Amino acid sequence: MRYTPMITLVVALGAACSYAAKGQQEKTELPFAAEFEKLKAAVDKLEESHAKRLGELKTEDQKAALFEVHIREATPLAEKALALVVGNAQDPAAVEVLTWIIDRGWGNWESTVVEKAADLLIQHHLKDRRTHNVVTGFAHLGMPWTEKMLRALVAAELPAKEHALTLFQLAQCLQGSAEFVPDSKIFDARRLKRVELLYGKDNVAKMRMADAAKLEAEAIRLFTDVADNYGNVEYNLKKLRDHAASAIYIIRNIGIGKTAPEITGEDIDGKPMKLSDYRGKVVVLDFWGHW
Amino acid sequence: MRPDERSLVKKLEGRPFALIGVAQQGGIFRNLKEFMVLEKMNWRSFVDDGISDQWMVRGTPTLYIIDTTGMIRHRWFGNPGPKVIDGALEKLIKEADLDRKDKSK
Repeated sequence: MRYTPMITLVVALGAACSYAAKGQQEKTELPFAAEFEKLKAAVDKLEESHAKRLGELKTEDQKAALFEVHIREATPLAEKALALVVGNAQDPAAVEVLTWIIDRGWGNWESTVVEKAADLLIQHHLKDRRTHNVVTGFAHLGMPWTEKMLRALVAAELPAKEHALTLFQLAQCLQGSAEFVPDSKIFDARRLKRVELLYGKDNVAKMRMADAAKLEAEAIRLFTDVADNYGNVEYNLKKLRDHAASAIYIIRNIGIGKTAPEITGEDIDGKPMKLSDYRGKVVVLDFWGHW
Repeated sequence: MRPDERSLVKKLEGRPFALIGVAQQGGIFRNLKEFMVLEKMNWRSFVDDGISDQWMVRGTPTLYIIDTTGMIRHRWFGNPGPKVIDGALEKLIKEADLDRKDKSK
């Protein structure tokens, strides 16, 4: 069943990042353009082949094994792309390759390659809007490299609106990291393996042991800062003030690890029912519609 | 998703498990009960009268797993598929089974 938003949101990744970095807005001709295009084409072909093979498999074990094979096959391509720019990473031409490595990395190659690309962007291209653009889509996942990049962007003294967005996204990142801690406690072996492939095994080990309460406290502090000082900035069709208020409510009341608020209501036959009636059972609470 | 939900309810019958819906109103069918009969929905649902707002639900399906103590343990936006849900439930239900056995001694 397709996930249907109750209102249609147009999520324009990086749409709010409108600042111009000096000398970096124009597209620079890549000296290694041909090689980079070959690598991109090879990744596209590999993804296509993976999707086709996935459709032919029956069991979850087979699918998991294919995913591992895909990561193993795609990682050298990303490493070759990184090698094209690592010796001259400060060149604005490198940004296109580095952001591609990050943008396409999820579910394609090992996180170590993504982390190296992120480090180079942090070191050389913090004020290039493409750096902010690329991390925007990953902020909520709460991975170490996204936190590192967002902290660097917050410290980079970007123009006011972009600064507000990076503060908000850092708060989202910390919220995601906080939720990962209790969430990961119910991973079965297959899910854990998959998450380790996506995030990196060492990263997952660290993330599982993080202090969730401390992460939540910092997230709330940042959301409050955003609401108080940048509340009128528009983001995804709403003001940051409203986004921040929702996020704080979720952290305090319905975040993973929190006690579920009581629900009191009626069923379809008009009979009273309460969520607490099911205490002592494992409950799947399913919000559904019939659109 | 409904065939998966029906299978889940049948598979876990007699175990310490409950599938509880929150039925949003205002869709294609005016009559929720009629829709639920048509879809053979063998689990109970709240009629959503502000519950989605309370839980900040922005789209459907949104799923929460709540353990036996009432703690929220997981959340999905969209249907993650039956295998993922089964995997997440397995550990919690085993713990709940053991807990029940201990209490009955």
